[in-house]
Amino acid sequence: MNQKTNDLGLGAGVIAFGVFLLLYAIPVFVSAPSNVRALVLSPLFWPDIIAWIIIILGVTLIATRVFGPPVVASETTASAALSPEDTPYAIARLAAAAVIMVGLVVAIPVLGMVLSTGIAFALISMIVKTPRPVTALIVAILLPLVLYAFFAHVAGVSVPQGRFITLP
Amino acid sequence: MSFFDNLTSAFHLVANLESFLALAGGILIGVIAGAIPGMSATMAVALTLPFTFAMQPITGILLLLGVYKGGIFGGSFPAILIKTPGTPASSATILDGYPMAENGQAGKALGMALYASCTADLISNLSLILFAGWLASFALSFGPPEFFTLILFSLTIIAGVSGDSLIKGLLAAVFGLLLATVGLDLVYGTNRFNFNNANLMGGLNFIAVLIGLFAIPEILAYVWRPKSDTEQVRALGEQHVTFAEYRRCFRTIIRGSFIGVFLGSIPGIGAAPAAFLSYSEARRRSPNKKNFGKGEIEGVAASEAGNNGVAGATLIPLLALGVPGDVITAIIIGAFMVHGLQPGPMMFVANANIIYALFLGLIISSVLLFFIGGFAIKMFRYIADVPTSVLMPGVLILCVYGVYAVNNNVFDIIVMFAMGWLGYFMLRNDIPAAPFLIAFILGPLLEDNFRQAMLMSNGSAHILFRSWITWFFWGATMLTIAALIKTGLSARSDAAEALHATSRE
Repeated sequence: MNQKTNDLGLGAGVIAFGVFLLLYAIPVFVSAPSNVRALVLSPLFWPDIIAWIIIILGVTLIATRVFGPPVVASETTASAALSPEDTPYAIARLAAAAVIMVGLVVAIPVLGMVLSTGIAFALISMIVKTPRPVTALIVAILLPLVLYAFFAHVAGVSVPQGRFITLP
Repeated sequence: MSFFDNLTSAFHLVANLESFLALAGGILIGVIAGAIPGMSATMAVALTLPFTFAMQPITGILLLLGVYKGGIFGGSFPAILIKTPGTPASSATILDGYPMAENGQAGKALGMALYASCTADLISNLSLILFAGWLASFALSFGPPEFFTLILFSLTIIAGVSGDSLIKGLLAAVFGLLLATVGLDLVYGTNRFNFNNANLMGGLNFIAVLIGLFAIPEILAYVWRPKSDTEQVRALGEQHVTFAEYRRCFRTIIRGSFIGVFLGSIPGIGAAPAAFLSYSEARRRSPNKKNFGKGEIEGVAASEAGNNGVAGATLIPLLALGVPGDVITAIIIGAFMVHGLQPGPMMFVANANIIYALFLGLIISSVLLFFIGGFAIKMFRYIADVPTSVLMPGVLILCVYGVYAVNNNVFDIIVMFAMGWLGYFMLRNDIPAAPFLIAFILGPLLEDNFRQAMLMSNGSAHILFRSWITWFFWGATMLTIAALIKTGLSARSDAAEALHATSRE
């Protein structure tokens, strides 16, 4: 997908989101009292203005890409481009990272912060195929413990302990 | 309290071991983080922020300022030794720094980077001391309409210059404003996008949003495309800069410092343009202009003076007006807020001792940077050896602990991850994250001032044009938009011509 197609899709998505805000999200999720003195003071006014600006910017983005000169992808976007053979693996790695993040949030109350972050560290190191597995394993054990020691004993944070291991 | 009372109180706040250790530790962390390819000064400041919660306000803020200053200087290490800028601000340093390293003069280039950085840092700090108080006393006369137009102007310029596209910058800013509406309404206390969830009643946690936006996308980008752990690091070679070389570059350093101060004090411009402008001015005026780009020491001095000249000056709008000039100062404003302090003109009245203590600390930081930077030059080989495949999972763990520590709440970790994926989406689509974050921070202030102005005028928009100050900011906003559109159109025309020329070939 080239930069122009990408931006056209982005513009369309932005307009759709703006319309969704105006027609559904703001009326349903923003409450306004009935005794508001002026329209500009209503809690609805600011979100409404933002939604309209979003729509206008979406239309402008599409218009500039359709009628304006061609756009060139930035260095960041260009450097993220992979060969067709590598792309499925990269998508799988990203999906695995998403699963690890969800798993981490679910695991913290059960396994505790130290154990779940240590496991998350090891799993991330595995999916990026670290060339230094021993170093990664040592850091996966030590880093959560050091951070626990700091936050629990120096900063006085109540770090979740989990159901299985209780640290001092 | 009188000036001398404030100064004495400030001296007591800074002249203790804890503050010195915070400054020195911050600079060391910043230099190391800036020197590690894949880390940045922004990420380092964001990750250090949660460690400051348990500290005294001044100690925590000095620690973050140390990380900021160390990080900007540390970025010159990989720029000179492995041709990879540690921070965007160091991009100009590559132009002459890396050729010097190839010629066996890496130590000399790093030495000049250090001298130029410390000189520029000192000038920038003195400018901050000179101008912040003056600007704050002027801003004391601002009412809600003046603040509304000032914030609108700041957001426009930040949105315009942060990325390659004005529209995408504005989109980022508007989405930041939208996210800032989550919570309870500022005037009526009614629900806004909080879905009756108690975690959302007070709005989204600022630290979860900023760490999510600036650290998680880097991890995801690494997961998408893991890079090699081994970079080719040049040897230090000839290590010393002579006094004659420093004296030859002195005018360039001073000029670069003032360019940095000027651009740094305008919200949104940042260190990278200052470094490039300082570099091009130095090349234009130098008798050795033919050597620029081939390993000219004056080129390193110019770019480092330009980017470090910004470091103190970005605090001018932050302290005097309460408007963060860039992402790092946006994070630092978080440290102020965590400790119940609100930067702005009133802080010069209510917490003047903290302001003076910061000034004293900043002056000391320039001296500490000189010694710690010199030590770090010798240690760079070990710093560069930190493998990215271990660093990135480590950053993830730091993020999780840091964000949890804010409210002892797992919900904040969910917000951080959600913001991380949003930030990654923005990264892949060339949407700058800086306007998003700054708009998220300034959003409540913008809306609050707008609604206060409307309350004062019974809903009449005339109040937004009531004084020459509001007219000035409206005019500046319009001029900024016009200039950005003109620059954007000409840049795109040039790119289109280049594209046509390439396709013809």
